[in-house]
Formats: sequence, structure tokens, C-alpha cells
Amino acid sequence: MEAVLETPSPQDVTRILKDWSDGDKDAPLRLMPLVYDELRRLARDYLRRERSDHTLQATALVHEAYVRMVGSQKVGWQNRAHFYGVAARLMRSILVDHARARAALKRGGQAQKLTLDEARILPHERAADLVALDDALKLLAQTYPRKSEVVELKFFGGLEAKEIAEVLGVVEKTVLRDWNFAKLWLCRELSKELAGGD
Amino acid sequence: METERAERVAELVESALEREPSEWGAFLTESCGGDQALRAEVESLLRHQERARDFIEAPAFQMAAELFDDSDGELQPGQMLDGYEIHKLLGEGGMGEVYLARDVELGREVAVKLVKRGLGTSDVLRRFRHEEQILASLNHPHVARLFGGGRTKEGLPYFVMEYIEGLPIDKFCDSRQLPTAARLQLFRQVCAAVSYAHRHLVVHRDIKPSNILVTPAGEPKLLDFGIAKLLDPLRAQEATPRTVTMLGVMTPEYASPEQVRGEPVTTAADIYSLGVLLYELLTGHRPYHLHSRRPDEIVRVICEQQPERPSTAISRREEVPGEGGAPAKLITPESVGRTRNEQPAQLRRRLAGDLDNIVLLALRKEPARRYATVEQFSDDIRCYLEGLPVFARKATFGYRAAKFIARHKVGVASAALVVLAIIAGLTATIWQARVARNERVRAERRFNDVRKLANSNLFELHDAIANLPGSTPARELLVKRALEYLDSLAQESQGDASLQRELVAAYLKVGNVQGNPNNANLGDTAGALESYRKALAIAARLTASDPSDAQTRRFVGVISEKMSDAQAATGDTAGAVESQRRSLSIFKAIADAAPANAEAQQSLAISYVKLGDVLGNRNFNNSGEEAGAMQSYRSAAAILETLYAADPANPKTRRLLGLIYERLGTMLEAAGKADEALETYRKSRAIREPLAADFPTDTDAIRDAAIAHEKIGDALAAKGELAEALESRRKSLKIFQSLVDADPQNVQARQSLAISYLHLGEVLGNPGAPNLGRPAEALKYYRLAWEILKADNDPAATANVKTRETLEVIRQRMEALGARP
Repeated sequence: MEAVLETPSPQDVTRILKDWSDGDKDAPLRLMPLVYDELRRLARDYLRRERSDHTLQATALVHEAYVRMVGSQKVGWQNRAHFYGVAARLMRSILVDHARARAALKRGGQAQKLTLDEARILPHERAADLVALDDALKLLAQTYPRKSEVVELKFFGGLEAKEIAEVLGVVEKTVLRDWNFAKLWLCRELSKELAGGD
Repeated sequence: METERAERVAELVESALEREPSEWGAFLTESCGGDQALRAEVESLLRHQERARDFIEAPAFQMAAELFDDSDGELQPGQMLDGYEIHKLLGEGGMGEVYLARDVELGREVAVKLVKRGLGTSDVLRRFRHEEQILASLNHPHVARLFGGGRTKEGLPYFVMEYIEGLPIDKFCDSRQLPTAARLQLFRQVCAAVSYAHRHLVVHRDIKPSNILVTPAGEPKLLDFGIAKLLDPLRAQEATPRTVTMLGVMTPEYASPEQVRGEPVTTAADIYSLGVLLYELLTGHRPYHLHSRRPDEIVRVICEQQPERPSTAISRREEVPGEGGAPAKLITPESVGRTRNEQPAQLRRRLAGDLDNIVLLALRKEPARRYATVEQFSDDIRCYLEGLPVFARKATFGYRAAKFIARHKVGVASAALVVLAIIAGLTATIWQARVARNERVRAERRFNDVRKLANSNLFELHDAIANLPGSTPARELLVKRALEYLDSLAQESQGDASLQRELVAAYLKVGNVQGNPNNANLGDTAGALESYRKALAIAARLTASDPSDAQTRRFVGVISEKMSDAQAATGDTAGAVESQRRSLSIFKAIADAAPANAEAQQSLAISYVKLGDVLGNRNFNNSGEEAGAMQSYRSAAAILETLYAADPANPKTRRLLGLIYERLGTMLEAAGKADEALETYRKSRAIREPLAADFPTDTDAIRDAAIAHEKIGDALAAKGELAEALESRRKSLKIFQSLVDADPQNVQARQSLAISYLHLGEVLGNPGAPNLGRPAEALKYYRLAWEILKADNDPAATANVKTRETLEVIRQRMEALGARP
């Protein structure tokens, strides 16, 4: 409770976002580590507190990161959109990296069964699911880059269709159509893997 | 070209999705023209429509919740713990976390078991030191070695044991499809290990498959010898309350009757647990079905229900819940036969007779009537394997005869039951005769369904998933389905009293799951009230047509009480008072009819307390009748003081007495009588502190003690003795913090902590009242309170009125101090 982590000041983040809008190509690179740390910290924090009834609020993670990092500073909607886009990409990499590590653990051999109690099965399967999905998403991006981005923003970033439309600069209806198509495409891709895989 | 094609595919799929599936054929014919490849591509995507509906709709974050969670153990990889280097978290169970670690000095791998916060009462380690030598001296090829134990920097006890790679014995047997004889041989090796420990005066106390790992070479290894005893927190105390505590820690399916009753445990308990294990290894089923985790239910089943013979049990088809959230598993005669490499009929013949008798002898309720030693048990199995007569057969006949006679001694009671059964049977027959045969089968099935629903299913399922991230929609669906089913049944239940009784119970449970503020619930208070009303309406019809139906009358009392809770939570205090009065009148009639029955008296006292709460306790939504509340509380106090004088050791009486003094204190405080209030709060603390000390793992008792400090702080603050008030506040805060640390997911614990922060802030620097003039500190605590409540506040739930009010208070305080939340 005592330890309050250093959060980068809203000014830092806002300045980077402004630089970005002004065409600074390095801005995303400077923004990412800041947002990454914040998201990781928030994610852990949320998961500790939110386990019981409040899972829906977990989707507010990215928003909370935004509010903490940018606050009420005046930035244009493009900046906010940039931020959300970055945050969603980072959430994806945080979650998938983690899942990869978990899935690797499974290959590390027969883990000792818990003995203090009936064990909670370690979530290897879910980890593997997430990794497979990430791979499929990369394939989708080759043919349908925007649809893949929609999935990234919605599934990994927890954003609503309206916000995604803002980030991508398309109308909401397009986002929904992209989403529905991408889900079918990914389902087909993943079932291919099942049928042909090990 | 490629891209254009892809765009065309997407375009067609998206347009198809905006149409009904029945129109797809025509749509594609029209739009693909003769391009068969295009059409095939589009159709191959549309085929996944069913699967895709819910696919990745829940954010990845929820899916990944566990991933983060389990990497976040108490100990970090690379961390040193005395001479052990932590490698990784292997997993987590009810008692704590297990790590793979390396003994740096000896260069060997070990398992480190860290006892969870809260369970690690301060004497685990002291007890361990006491027994360490004995446990460490156990040296047997089938017993996992215990190397030592200690305490982390944070004070959590841990044990260091031999690291075993292997499968739990039941999974090992199934994965190798071991036939019965091989299972028996393996089991005898386990017996040898247990027998060895018994000769060294160590009882295992928690034998179950997950504690017996079999290495790839087929060697069984028993883990955790003696650990259960070290963790048994109330070992030294009297019998009654132990059951509950013990059940919190053990796996009840393998516990002996004496264990669930909290009686002294001897080697006979291990023999019993070995019997359960053998039952499961032979049949694939467990001897009992525990449909709920309610202590009284568990005790009843384990102590009273006779297990089915193993040869009969294998014919059972049974769905068992998967471990760790895995899907349920169906056990059938065929699946059991397959894993034992035998036809079901053949297996049945093999088990019938000697093996039935051997298993049932180990499973007897009375410790003295089981095998005398593990060796005798194991030897009887050897006799069976060698075709010699077994001891269990002789023992069984005499035993059965004795049982039969004992059962029929209670002639009067049984006769009454028989008559009742006949009447019930007749009624059912007459009723059934009027419906067609198919109809009857359906009716029976429904009756059983609804009974199952009422007795356990719904609750169990709900509770089982309540803590899983993302389960809310599933829980809502569960309730919705249950209600649809019950509503349709209710319409057809006219004239069928037993079905109606089951319906009453079922609606009550659904209501509790929907929105009883005192349960894990969905926060749907309005829905809960609706369900309670339905239950009440049916119950009222039942009692009107049969005034002697005591059970249903009691139900009316219970339902009315729950309704009152829900009404109060939504702010309908007049309704809450009315419901609570109705409830009280029923409990009063029951108590008056049984003046010597302590439980009935306690129930009545609780009713008075609850009535007082809604009448005029400012800590609850109330109807502003302070005088009535005071009177009601005094009635409760009078009952409880009488009970306490008669039996000062009764934990429930103690708990309630502590509570009623707190309530009375609250009223006195509200009336401005600070001195009297303080005195009354101190009476409450005088009851609660020793109670918490007597039950160090009972979180309710601990919480109560914290509240007593909290209240004394209130009264001191009201008297202007701020420094002393701060002291009391800090005491309660410390306890609330420890409760949250022990169970961070517990909403109630978090909310108590938040309130405690708020109160601390008030004493330190609430600008609207006398304070210690330390606004910066006050602000810090307000902020802490705010963060907790904000996170838990679900704006959609009407039951959260109180939380929102509190948040508003905090906001005002912070703003008065020139800050914002």
C-alpha cells in the first residue's frame, strides 16, 4: 500500500504525443516503454483486485492507463487515438509473451503435481490458445491488415467499436464488419491448425 | 489481383453475415455468378459462423488473467530462501504455493511448500520444530523425504521436501490401464509406506491420490507425511468447531467420520482414507457424493451414509466436475472397464465378494471396527491375490447383523417414517395414476431435477465459478435458465405439495444467488426480491392448506428474512421492517415451543437483532424508529445473556453476544450517550477478543474483534479523546489489513478495510469535526479508501447504494481538504 510507483508525468506523455502528431517518427519508440511499464503495473494491480466480480472493468485498463498518463491535459483526438493504438499493441505483446513463456513451461517436462491440495491446473492450454491466436493474427495481417488491427484493438486493447473507428479513421460500421469477418477467418485458420497439427 | 480477390471475398462474407443464413444460398448464387472457387472460399468462411459467435468476444485480458496471476507467487525465481534457490512456481493449492528449488549446498532439486497467508498461524513453525526430528527421520523408499522447514522474511512458514516427478496414483493407474491385480499390488506398496510411518508414530491424516505420486518407474511416493497435523490449527481445542476449520483445509472426500467430526485422529483414520483410495482405484468412483461443501451436509454424508458396494458402484454413470476448471468428465461402466483393461461385466464379477468386503471393512464408520492395522489391511489383499480366504468376509456378516438390530431399536421413529413413506407413496401413486405413463416419467424426472437444483447444483456451480475471472455472464445465464425452468414448473405444480416444497427451496436459492447481500451474488437485488416473492407465495399456499407443515413455515421465516435484507439494501425500509416482523413472528413461535433449545433461542435472538437493524440502526438502511430498535436489541440481549450464563463456552452464543453489545453501543452512541456507548463497546470487545484468540483461523471472529476496536474508536472520538481514538483505529486497521492480505479477492474484507481507512482519515483531519489536525495524513487515507471502493463499485448494481454513498462522503472530505479523488 505504501509503495507508490513513479508514473511518468502527464506532460512527458503529452509532449511525446504532440511530437508524434507533428511528424516525429521516433515518438512511438519513446512512448512505448512508458506505456508498457504503466500497463504492466496496472494489469497486475487489476488482476489482484478484480478477480471476483469485476472482470468487465478489466476492459477499462487501457483507458485507465490513458487517464493516469495523460490525464486532463489537452490533446487532440488523434493523439488519444495514437495512444490507444500503442496501448493495444503493447497489451498484445505483454499477454502473448507471457503466454509463450507459460506454454514453453509445458514443454519443459512433466511438472510435479501439487500435493498440498487438489491442484489448480496450470493454464497451459489457455496459454497455447493465445499464442496460436497471435500467430493466426499475423497471417491475417498479411492479407487484411486493417481487419487484423481491429482485432488487436478490440481483443487485446479492450476498445469499443466507436473508439476503434476513431483510431483507424473509419466509420463504426466498417469496424463491425471487419470484426465479424476477422472472427470467421481466425476460426477457420485455427481449426486448420487443429486438423493438420500435431 | 490477389488483393482485389481478397477484398471481394471479404465483401461477400460481410454482406452474407448481414442476411439470414437461410438466404445465403440464393445470395451467393446471385453474386458469385459462375465463379465456383470464389463461392467455395466464401462458404468455407461462413461455415465457422456458429463457432465464431462467442470467439474472442471476451477481451484477451480476461483470458490471460490466470497467466499473470500464477506467475505472481510470493517468491520470485532466483530468490534465495536460506540455503535454497527458488527456480519456479510449480503451482498453487488451497494451502499454499509449491516451488521447485535447488539445495545450493547439496546441489539437488527440492520442492518448497509455502504456507498461504492466513493459514500460517504463528504456531505452525513451533509445532514443526517439535516434530521435525520425527518427520525428518522417516526414511522409506516410498515416503518422500522431508528435509526441513523455516520461515520467510515475511514470516510465512515453508517446508522443504524431496522433489518427485510423477503422476498422482489414480491418474498413473488409468494412464497405464493397469488391471485390477496390478492396482492392488501398487496399493500394497502404498500400505507398506503408511505402515512404516505408523510404526514411527506418524499419522498421515490426509491420504489422497494427489498426495501419492508414482514415478515413471512405477514407484509410489507418499508426500506430506505429518504436514496435515502441523497445519491443523485447532488441534488442541475442543471438538465442535474444529469440523468447519478442518474442512477448510482438507479434501473432505477422503476424510474419515472421526476427522469430519473433529474427534481425535489415530492410525484408523489413515486406514479409512486408504479405503477410500482403494475404492476409487478399483471402481473409478468415490464412495460418497458430496453435493455441497456445507459442513453439516459433509458430516451427515460421511458419518451416516453407507457406501455402495464397489461391484455395484462400477455400474454407475456419473458426471464428475473436472479439476481446476476443466470440463466435467463422464464416468461410465465402459470407461472404467477400459482403463482397467477389462469388460464391465467381468470387472463386476471380480469385485463382487471379497474385494467388496475388504474395501467396506476399511470404510467402516467406527474406527474400532475397521482393520486394526494397515498391515492387516494389506495382508487381506495379499490373501485375495493368492486365492486364500479373507478376513473381511467373516467380519462382515457379524457386522451387518449387528447393524440391522441397532437400526431397528429405534422402533418408534422408524414406524412413523414407514407410515409417512406409505402415505407419500400412496399420494404419489394416486396422482400418477391420473397421468399418462410418459407424462409420469417426465414428471418424475422434473421432480428430481428441481430437487437437485434446490439441494445443490445451482449453488455449487455458482460458487464454483464465482471467483473465476469472466464468469459473470455464465452465472447470469445459469440463474436465467434456472428461473425459466422453475417458472414453467410452478405453473404445473398445482396440487403437488412435495414438488411445491422443492420449488420454495429452489426459488430461495436462486434469489440468494441473484442478490442476497450476505452471499456471493450477482448484484441483481430486484431479481432476488422477485424470486423470494415467488417462493413466499408458494410457501403461503402450502402452509394455508397444511398448517402442520413446520418445515415450510420455517422456510417462510427464512425467506422473509432474506427479503428484508434485499429490501433494506434497495432502500425500501418499510418493506424490510414488515418482512422482518413476519420472519420474527415465526422464529418466535418456534423458540417458544422449544424453550430449552439453544439453537431456536439463538435464531430468535438473531431475528430481534435484524429487526432492530432495519428499525433504527444508523449503520443500516433503516426506517428511523430508534426506540423500537433499542427495544428489539434489548430483547435479543436478554435472550443471549441467559444463554451465555447457561453455557459460556458456546461459540455462537459468544459471537452473538459480542454482536448485540456492539449494536446496543451504536444506538447509545447515536443517542449522544458517549460514556454508556463506550462502556457497552468495551463489553463487546471483552467477548470478541478472547473469541478471536480461541479461533485464530475464523475470519468472522477476527473481523468482529476488529469491529470492536473500530467502535471503541468511534465512541472515543465522539468524546473528543482523539489520540486514544487514533490508537483504536490503528488496531482495527491492522486487523482488517491482515484479512485482506489473507484473502485479497474478498470484497467484504476490502470494503471493511476501506471504511477503516476512511475512519482513520476522519480522526486525523476531517475538517468538519474535531480532529488531530493532520490533513496530509488524512488525505492519504481518504485516497486509499477511495481507491478500494471505486474499484469495487459496480454502478449497475442497486445493492451498491451504500458504497456510492460512502464514495460521496469521501469525495466531500477530499474536496474540503482542497484535493480531488
